[in-house]
Amino acid sequence: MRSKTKWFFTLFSVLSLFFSFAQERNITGVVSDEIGPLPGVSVLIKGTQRSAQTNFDGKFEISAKQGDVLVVSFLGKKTKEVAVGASAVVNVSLQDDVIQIEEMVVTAYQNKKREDIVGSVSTISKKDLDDQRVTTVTEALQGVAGVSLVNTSGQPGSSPTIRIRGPQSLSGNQDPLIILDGAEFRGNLNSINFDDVSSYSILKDADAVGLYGNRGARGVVVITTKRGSDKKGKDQINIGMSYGISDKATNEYDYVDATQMMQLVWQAQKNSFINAGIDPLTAAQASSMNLVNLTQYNPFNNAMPINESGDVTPGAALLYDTNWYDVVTQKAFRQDVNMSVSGGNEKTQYFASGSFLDSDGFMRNSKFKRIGGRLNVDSQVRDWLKIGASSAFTNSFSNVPVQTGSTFSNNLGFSRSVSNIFPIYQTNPDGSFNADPVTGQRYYDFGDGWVTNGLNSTLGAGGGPTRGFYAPYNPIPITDNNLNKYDRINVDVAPYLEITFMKDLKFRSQYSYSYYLLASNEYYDPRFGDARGVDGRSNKARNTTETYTLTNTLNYSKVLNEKHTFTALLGQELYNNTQNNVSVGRTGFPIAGLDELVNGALISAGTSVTFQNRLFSYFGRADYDYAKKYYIGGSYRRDASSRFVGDNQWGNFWSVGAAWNLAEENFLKNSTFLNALKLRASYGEVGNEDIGSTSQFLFPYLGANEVGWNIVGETGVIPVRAANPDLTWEKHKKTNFGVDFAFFNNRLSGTFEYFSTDIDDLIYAKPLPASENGGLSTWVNSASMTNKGWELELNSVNIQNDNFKWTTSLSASQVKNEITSIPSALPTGVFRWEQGRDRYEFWMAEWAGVNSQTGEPQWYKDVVDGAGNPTGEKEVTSTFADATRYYTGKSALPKLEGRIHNKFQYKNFDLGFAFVYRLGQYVYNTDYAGLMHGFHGSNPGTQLHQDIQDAWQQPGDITDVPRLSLDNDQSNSQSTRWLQKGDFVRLRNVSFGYTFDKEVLKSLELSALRLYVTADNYWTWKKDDRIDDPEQSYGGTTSNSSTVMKTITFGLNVSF
Amino acid sequence: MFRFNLIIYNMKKTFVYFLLSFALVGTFSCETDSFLEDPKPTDEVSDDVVTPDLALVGMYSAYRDFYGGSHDVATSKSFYLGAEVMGRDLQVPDFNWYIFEHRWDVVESAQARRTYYSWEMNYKLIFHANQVLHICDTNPAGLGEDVLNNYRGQALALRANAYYNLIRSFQFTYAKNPSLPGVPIDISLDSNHKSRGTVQQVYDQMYADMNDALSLLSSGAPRLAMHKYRVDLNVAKGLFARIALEKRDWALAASLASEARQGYNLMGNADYTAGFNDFGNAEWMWGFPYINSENFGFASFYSFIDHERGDGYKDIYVNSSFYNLFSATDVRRTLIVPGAPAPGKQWVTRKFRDLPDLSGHMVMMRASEMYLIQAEGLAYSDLSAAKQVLLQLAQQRDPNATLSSAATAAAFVEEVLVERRKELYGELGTDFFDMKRYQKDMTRTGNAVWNAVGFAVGQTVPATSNKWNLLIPQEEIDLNDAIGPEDQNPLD
Repeated sequence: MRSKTKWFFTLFSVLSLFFSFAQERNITGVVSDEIGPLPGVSVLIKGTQRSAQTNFDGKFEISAKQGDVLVVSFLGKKTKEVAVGASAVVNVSLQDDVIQIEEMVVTAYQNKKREDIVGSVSTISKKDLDDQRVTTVTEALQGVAGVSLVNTSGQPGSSPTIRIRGPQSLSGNQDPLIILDGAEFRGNLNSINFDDVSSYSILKDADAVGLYGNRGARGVVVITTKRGSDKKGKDQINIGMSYGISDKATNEYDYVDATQMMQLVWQAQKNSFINAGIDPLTAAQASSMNLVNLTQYNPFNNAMPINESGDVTPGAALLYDTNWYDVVTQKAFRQDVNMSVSGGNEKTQYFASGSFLDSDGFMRNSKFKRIGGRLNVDSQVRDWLKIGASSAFTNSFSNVPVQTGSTFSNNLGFSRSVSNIFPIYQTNPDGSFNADPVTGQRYYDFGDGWVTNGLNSTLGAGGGPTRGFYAPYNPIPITDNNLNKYDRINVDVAPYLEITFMKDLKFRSQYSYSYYLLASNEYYDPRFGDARGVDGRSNKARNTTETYTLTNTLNYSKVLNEKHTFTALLGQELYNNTQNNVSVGRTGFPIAGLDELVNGALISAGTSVTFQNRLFSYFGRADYDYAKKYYIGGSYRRDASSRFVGDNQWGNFWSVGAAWNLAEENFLKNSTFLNALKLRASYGEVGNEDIGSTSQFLFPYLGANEVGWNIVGETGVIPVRAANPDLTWEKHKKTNFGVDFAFFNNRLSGTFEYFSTDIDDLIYAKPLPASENGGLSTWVNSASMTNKGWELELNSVNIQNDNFKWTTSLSASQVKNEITSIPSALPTGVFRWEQGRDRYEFWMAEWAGVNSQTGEPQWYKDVVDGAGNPTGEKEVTSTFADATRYYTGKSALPKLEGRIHNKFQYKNFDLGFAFVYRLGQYVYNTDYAGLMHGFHGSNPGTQLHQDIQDAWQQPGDITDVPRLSLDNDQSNSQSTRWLQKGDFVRLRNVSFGYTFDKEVLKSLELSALRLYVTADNYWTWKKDDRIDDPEQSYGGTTSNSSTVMKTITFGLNVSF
Repeated sequence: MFRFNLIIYNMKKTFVYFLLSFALVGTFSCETDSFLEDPKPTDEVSDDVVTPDLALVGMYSAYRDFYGGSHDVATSKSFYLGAEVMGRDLQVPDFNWYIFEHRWDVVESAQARRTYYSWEMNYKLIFHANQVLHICDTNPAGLGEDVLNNYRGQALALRANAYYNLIRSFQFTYAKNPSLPGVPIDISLDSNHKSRGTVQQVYDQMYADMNDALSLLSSGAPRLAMHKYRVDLNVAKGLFARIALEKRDWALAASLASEARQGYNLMGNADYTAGFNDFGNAEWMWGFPYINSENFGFASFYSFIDHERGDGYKDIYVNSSFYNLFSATDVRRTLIVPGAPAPGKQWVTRKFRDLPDLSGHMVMMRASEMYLIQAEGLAYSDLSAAKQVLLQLAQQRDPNATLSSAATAAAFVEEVLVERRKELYGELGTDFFDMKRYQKDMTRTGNAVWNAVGFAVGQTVPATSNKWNLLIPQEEIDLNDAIGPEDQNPLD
């Protein structure tokens, strides 16, 4: 629509010029929008350098001829062209630019107009960011069509998992390439101050990523930070402040209470006695008698708390009922302050910012603080020479108690393992506590028989009960006194120079340097916990990552006859990444709290290692369009990686793309119904070589022997890998078809894309059976897979009048993954890679329910014929080792995912809702399995879910929960019993704000002020209630990890 | 004038441009030559750097420290400790590390950690041994043939030892049926998948390796004290003696054991009660040393069994019936002391006590075991001589010990088996493997606690039960083209 208008007016102006010998005269007018006059609007006479700006009342004055075309433009408004007619007064009314068709889009090494883009690029502009009122990078990216973003931790500052258009590799890196201001960014996404960002571009197809041929295969996220603009000496200051409070977004699992736990252990023991041939009555009595022997701990004041009927013995009262989840979590506060200044003059522009973020996690003692600053400067020092730099530093401090995985010190794992029958403090059978005789402070119970006491007196008298698991551990003193401190420093500096040595030819050279230091400080208190036996332990690691990229590009662009537009780009690039890891540890820290190594008596560890990876590239791109109607473009890139050797080092990558802008064709030009229609297609091949960052991944071509297998000062080496000098690039062949459209006067617009990616020469470590060379692996390029899918983005202005506006944006995408070839099927945990299957299709034993006569768990197994071949029939078995593992037809990948965002604006109020959804995926829920053990292979007293109450009790019971027993019948073994629907819809963000009138602010000398309240993740719908939070891993498994937080935030933004 | 200015301007611009381009392109081209070749591994070396010495130390280190992914499958010692708690002498009363072994749960799963570990650790050791043999042939690094032969002998002895541990874990004893499926035999660096073969074939390979090892190990200089972690001729004979004993090659076992212990004396009470943590002990023939920075912390052997260590899991206790086997004057009885007044926890052992910096050494072979093998081997041919051998050891531990009065070889061997338990518990999985070797039913007594669970007190696992054998790891079946689901060991 825009270009159509432009053409029309251009034509008109040419004709006018032809037929009239115009006189110059003063034209005046007022530019306004629906609210009122607009100051600062640029008015340019088309085809000239003559321009004017509107004053505070929206007025402008410019000298022009009849027939001249005034180009009236203002950020955030649709640019309008008005022909000067007979009248000397031209009033212009501007409308909000909802569609932003003309926005500049940052793509690979180039900026392009939205309308000129041939490839598949999703953008989040400054305006979108403002519109959505999101507060973090990850919130902004989640729901972009084609992007799968999964928040995997509740620790503030942690990075989410991002996949663009499906799984990208079998065992290599699947993360998209992140380009920050022109260079690869390898740090944590959340270390980029969100308020510094001016736009995100997500490059998806071959045309878009082609120029990042060596790393772009996995998709690219291009992040551009704000730069100063010519403000005629008037600087602008923006300040944002917000305060919030957070908690886990979803409810924690519903655990049994102390009484129920004792009854359940009683029941399990009784069942085991019966199973051993004892009659039910005797078994019940024996179970009552032996109960406390078994649990060791007794939360009741009665030595036989559960009677032979399985009820609480009359008169028995609870002494305590510990809710460990409350113990290991905290209320989390969040404070965020940002300030930025931007300004400059015609020659030099700058943008400077500073930010401070202080945000707790909901796990006990989890803290995150971040201080950052940025300075971006550009200066046109000569008319042919421009220099500038982007520079930023970020310093973050966090205390991150372990909150994922199966280690002891994962407090979430602790609260899901240690039940309410275990007390916080040493509790005597009469309910009294053991306490320090001087201070009166109660001794902590570490589950180790009172051998450890706690803070004041470390060694106890003993004689207490032992927990038998998670001992010696008590989360309060240990989490509060141990350190898991990670300090990070990021320094990024990218100076550049740009030489314009002909009007159409520019040379640019940028050197981007990034330094990242991760300083880990882990300290284990000498008084209790893991390191008590060695009088405390302290480990310090200093890991640095240095990255530099040198990029030289030559840009050429030429417009001929106003119809033929040529652009070309040539470039060369070199990239280096060096990691250096140093770590030292000592033990023997008798003085609690002094964690520096100088206090430790004995060096217990010390090591260092360096890893380096390099890339070298030549690349080029050429584009042509005819009259903004027909576009064709292509790119070529030749890359070498230090990861491969000889000829295999080099990869040749290329892409071609074409587009047809139908809206420019005569048959559509005058349509009032259809305002934009563009068809796009592209194909290309790009590469991936990032399979990991340690030696085994960096030098797969070498047959390697690992050093460091020493015995008391004698050096030993062992072979760890067989060489594959033939190893080469993974090749991603990407096909993309897209259509951009707008209807009803641009009220409804959007994009639909279909894509297909064939990934060949997939790199993975080919496993050997252990009996063959000890299972020594080799890296091979011998599998292929495809991702096919579609994406839809829709934007609509539903209602728009003077006071009220309602807009909706929606995205949806679908990817289907299939392994198209692999030499032999390869089981990988809960999956199995096999030709014709989804890489993330679950493969495991099939749960066949509970035998209603015996209460035994059952699984399916194949019926086999005499020769041992499956007949195709299945039967049930209660022996897990006999169960056959099957493909489940269920995948960890969603069938549909995306976002719906609604924004309402009434006068000065705005209200927005953003929902994200992921539908059709499955989660293998080991967390829930761990809470449903039914004592099969678990210690009596291990935490249980309320659902265990449905356990089978007597013949005839129809239930899905097997009989409780202390025998190990492996009922919580890996099977479809724990495979749950992971569909969810989450209200990612609600924001409500009030923007003050400019008139009101004028007296305060402010230019803008907005007050708001936002609520993140306050509501979640999930298909299966048995999972606490379905959003926790891309690969569809759970690992007792902390999950997304819900946060309510109050804040204000002010500019002056 | 205008035109002239423009030319000057353009010249200046061109000059500056060339200057800048030279600078940039110059830096660029200087670097391109080596740019891609510069990165090199800093913690790995290529094959040509690996000398026989480096490979040999690596082989022992890998064996000593093999990590199966969890604390109960770490270091070579956990292979033996797993078998210990499957026997009758040591027990795990809490739900803690080694509980699945103690309750014999592990024998029912092809995916249990114990299953994987027992398989993978031994095959890794076999691979490392093959690698040492290969490097001795291909990169002798100037070492003399006598030294190389000595190294080859060490590799062959360790390879045979790995097959010995495999075959007795994954199949019944040789005497039951030598034609039962064995384990895959891999004695080269080729990459052909191998099938299970038979028990007989595995024994043939072990005997061949051991015979070669004995002749090769007679070359080279005598072992240094600091190299007690390496196999020498004595240790190789000891390893061979264990294999011969398992195969019921009684005479060979007896003579090898007798030769093996030459040069070693039985230790006195002071050494016996010192904590079993120093490979300098005069009775230790083979042991693995550690230093502080190499120790396994919570995953080390001592963490489970040493109740006096500051930290550690300390979850392995002594069975009361086993305690009662010791006579009152036996020094070894003094090492078993009261634990906690809780079921199953009444007795703990002080036999193994870690060093303060957690670097306690691991015992792999002692001379006393050789007395016991010799006594057992002799019993079938010369009972009175056998009794004399046993008496030497028994009297060393208990001054009141007397000559055995057993009337038959079988009765005497029963006494030897008890003596083996008393002498070797905690070290080699002796009770479990001996019961399997003699195909006995196992019944647990005393204060074992898992009343109604798994392998309970009063219950019996018959000798014929398939539970005596671990299942072949599922991953081996999935990846090995020559082994299919039909080759799996049967379940009861």
